[in-house]
Amino acid sequence: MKDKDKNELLILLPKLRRYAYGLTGNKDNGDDLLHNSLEKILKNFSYLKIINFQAYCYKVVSNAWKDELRKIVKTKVVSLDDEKIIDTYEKHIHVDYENNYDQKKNYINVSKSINELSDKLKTTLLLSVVENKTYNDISKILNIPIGTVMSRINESRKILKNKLLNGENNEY
Amino acid sequence: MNIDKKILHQYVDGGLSLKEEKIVEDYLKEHQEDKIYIEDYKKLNKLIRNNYLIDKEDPIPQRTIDLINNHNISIFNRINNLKVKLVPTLLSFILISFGTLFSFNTIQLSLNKSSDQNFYALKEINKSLILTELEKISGTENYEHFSSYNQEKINYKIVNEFNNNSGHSCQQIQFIDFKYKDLNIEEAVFCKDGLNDQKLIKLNFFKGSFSNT
Repeated sequence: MKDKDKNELLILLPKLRRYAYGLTGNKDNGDDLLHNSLEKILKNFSYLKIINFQAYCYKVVSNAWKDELRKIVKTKVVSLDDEKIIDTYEKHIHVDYENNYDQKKNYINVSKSINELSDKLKTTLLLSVVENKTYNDISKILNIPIGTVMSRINESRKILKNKLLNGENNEY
Repeated sequence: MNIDKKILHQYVDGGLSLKEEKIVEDYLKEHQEDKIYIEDYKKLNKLIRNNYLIDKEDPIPQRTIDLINNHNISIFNRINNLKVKLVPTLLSFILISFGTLFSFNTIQLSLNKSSDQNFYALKEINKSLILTELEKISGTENYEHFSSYNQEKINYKIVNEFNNNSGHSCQQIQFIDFKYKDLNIEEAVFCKDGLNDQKLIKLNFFKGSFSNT
């Protein structure tokens, strides 16, 4: 592997990790997903020129998460609980706000609401809002039409708005 | 520009050009309801983003870093990764090589044939003698036939040279590929007469496409 490619991947790593966190909802699973995805990226890494390397890496992570989900459905693993979210929060995400109760509560509410979204909506929303990807990039990463990207974002915002801004815990 | 919810979402996500953004901003000044709609989504975006701030203090696991640093592409992987290009390239190479070799051999063969010193081109007068004889044998003398005969070059090799009983020189010749109608002419013997003209003495031919001789 060339140093240039290695550096590009190392720079991209924190962003991919954040995306993996977002998909899995917790740090440990996120790191596992990142590791598995990276194995796939490196396995397929070749001298063939990939035009949009970043989009390609996001695509690999998204697909690896889809594979994981299939396994989860098969083994009927229940989704995240508060404990795992708090664990992620305390250990890895908002270290600066560790002792801030309100921040912690906000974090848990937002995380829970996002995790309650369907996988399709969550993936699309994270790519758009958190990873700042254009609709066109998202369309390529998830292999869906731009219209679907837009409607998924619209739908997930409606749900989150009701839960986080209009809901009974509207304290933001 | 028709401003609908999709455009407003694109505006929130920064997916519009500067010109389009300006149009939306002017629109929002006059549409308070949509402005609130936009503000809510901007607020929501901020909320979500804050939840996923990258903590620079949180190190990436060493096993993941090692995976990148220790990654070396094996020769097998290189070949495997390039197989998409390698297969058509190799196939093309094999086809081109085969084509070149085949053409080269064919050219060599034909060059060898014509450049071989043992082969000669049949003279027009000798060809006429043979064709006239064949017309006589078939009983349909028609000179138009062989005047329109289009096999221009007829190669032959000399099998034997001898003097006949009159002391005139003779040649027994064998044709390479001499066809007339459905007849395959294999051999002929020409002898010179007293006036030094060629006479056809013997003609060996068969009908059809295959000879046992």
